[in-house]
Amino acid sequence: MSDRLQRYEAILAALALAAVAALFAYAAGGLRGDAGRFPQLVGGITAALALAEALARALAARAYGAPPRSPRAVRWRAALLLAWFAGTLAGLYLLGVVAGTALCAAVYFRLFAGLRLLPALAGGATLAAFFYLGFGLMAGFRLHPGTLPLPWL
Amino acid sequence: MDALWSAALIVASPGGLTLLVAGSALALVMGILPGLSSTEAMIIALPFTFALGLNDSMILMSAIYAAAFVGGALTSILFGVPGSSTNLVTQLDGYPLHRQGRTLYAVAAAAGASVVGGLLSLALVVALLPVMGPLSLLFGPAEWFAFVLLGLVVLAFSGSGSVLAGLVAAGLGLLMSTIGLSVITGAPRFTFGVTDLWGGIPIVAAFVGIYPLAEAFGMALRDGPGAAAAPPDATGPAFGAATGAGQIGAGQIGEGLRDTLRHVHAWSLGSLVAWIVGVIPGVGGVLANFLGYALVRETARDRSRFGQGDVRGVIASEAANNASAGGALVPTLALGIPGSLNTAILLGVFMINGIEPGANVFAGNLEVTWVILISSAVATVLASVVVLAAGWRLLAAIVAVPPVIVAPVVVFLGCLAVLLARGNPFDLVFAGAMGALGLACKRYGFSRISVVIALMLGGLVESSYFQALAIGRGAHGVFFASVTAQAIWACIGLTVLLHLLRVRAARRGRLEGLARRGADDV
Repeated sequence: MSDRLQRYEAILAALALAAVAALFAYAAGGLRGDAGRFPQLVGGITAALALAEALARALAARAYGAPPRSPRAVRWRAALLLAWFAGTLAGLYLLGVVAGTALCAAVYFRLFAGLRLLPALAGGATLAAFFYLGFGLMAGFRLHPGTLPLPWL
Repeated sequence: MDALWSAALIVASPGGLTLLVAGSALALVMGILPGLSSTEAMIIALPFTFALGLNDSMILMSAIYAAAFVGGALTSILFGVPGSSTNLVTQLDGYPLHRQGRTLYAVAAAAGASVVGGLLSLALVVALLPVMGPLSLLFGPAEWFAFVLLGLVVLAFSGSGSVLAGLVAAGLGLLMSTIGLSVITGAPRFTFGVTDLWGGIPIVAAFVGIYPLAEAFGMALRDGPGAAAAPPDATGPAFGAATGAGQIGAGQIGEGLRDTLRHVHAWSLGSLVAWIVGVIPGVGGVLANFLGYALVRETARDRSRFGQGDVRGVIASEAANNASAGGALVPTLALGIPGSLNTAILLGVFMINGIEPGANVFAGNLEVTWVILISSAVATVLASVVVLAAGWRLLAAIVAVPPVIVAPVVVFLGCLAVLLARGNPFDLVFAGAMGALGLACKRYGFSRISVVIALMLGGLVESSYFQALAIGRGAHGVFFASVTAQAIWACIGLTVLLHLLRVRAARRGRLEGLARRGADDV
């Protein structure tokens, strides 16, 4: 990410919200009857407010400058963490609660908590076992088995 | 009285007491951990409520709701780091007291003030119970519309960030609430042909995504591998003195409790102000905590020791944040409009049990209302007793677990709550999207609480808007027709006016500062 983009990230965020709100209002125009009136009203107001916020941020950025950038290591860690979040949600969806938790928690403990491989695997297995025993067996919930047709699930 | 008696029996049953103790313990632990609060604790407990009935769910949630403040005070006093945002100003005087070796004195004062503030605010709610029913009758669709708007406006104006950003966040929440079937015509809106979107954004997925996922992300990012688990002053002389000597502890605890009762001005004024602030929908504990403290400081005869270890600061702050919790229950119980994020989760549990927000929440569920009030009162006392009896030992055990380890537990329990809420794995997609939105809001200064509360109340706002218009035969004058509506609109106008005056005063102060600096340069 360039310095320029970094500096104007907050302004872009406000502009993006304005665009989303305007899209809501525009799409609501195609709805029949009263269904579109409320989103049109709220979308229009929100888009105008978000534009004003973007303008205010642009003026503030010019006057006071931008906040300092995070160190490269922190940005890498944040990106890796985001990828882990996305992977975890996909893992839980595809592999189910028990297998997904065991695998994704182990990955987390290894990558982010700095544990060695065996303790990380043990941590993941413990958490998964807690869910299985506590929620699956004792509380009687039907834990999501995953959408992948795996033979052991 | 029948409802009160029946509720007391429910709370006093073995199952009720177990849930009360479990909820209080979880809240204490979460309150003590910096960065986590009762909100995360309530969301972690959410999956358990699916297996419980409404009353038992409310015992668990109310215990968490009331007890977390007490745990947060401990962290503020011992480490100078607020356990949660509602304990922000406790550290101003609590931490200096700890540095002076009077840790247990400060902890005892905080625990005592929590009990006094909490019980006082619940007593006020109980006193108001008889008028809550008639009060809710004053609210028709036009008044509800205005009242929710008031909450969203006050929320935007009282936050730490920009007002515009707060309003944009509220607008975004309202827009997201329109996803799904229209509450007016039943036609699908913004669903892109995906039937999973017909029911709208599930509220549990929104809570989990916007709050705990974003917080867990922050925790994992802050504490890398090998990050020190020990807090800064946990090994200092004051901590050692406090933890090592039981006889010092007993003396300091007694003195702290006595001083709490002696400083009536601090706890009564702090509680009252915070309670009133808490009643305003959406404002919550942070502002109440700060205002309670500020007012006690400004009205004190001797203000010189505030900020340097004055116990009145600790008492005012802790009484205030506990009292605001009771205040926030008023709009929740009377109108079904959450006074804070935590009461929004309480209301979410109602919705999970098939009870929609609105006046019926109180009128149709008097027994549950009493269960909430009794559980909150008992949990406040219980948590304070635990803190006094074993606070520092508890703290030492809890802070030994680094946040980087706690973070994934929060994530997985949150995801489990999402999966169990409706049994639809597609909700994980919603949680992921809401998580991304929560992170973006946090990073770019858009209020997350505004998004959640607006999302939750969007359906009510829209249906109230159209119902009011129908009553007024399409004329917008109906929104200003009744005295109640006029009073609410006046409050909205007053909020905006006060903000403009504050901005003007700040600008004038800045200009005077610049002029003075210019004169000095010359």
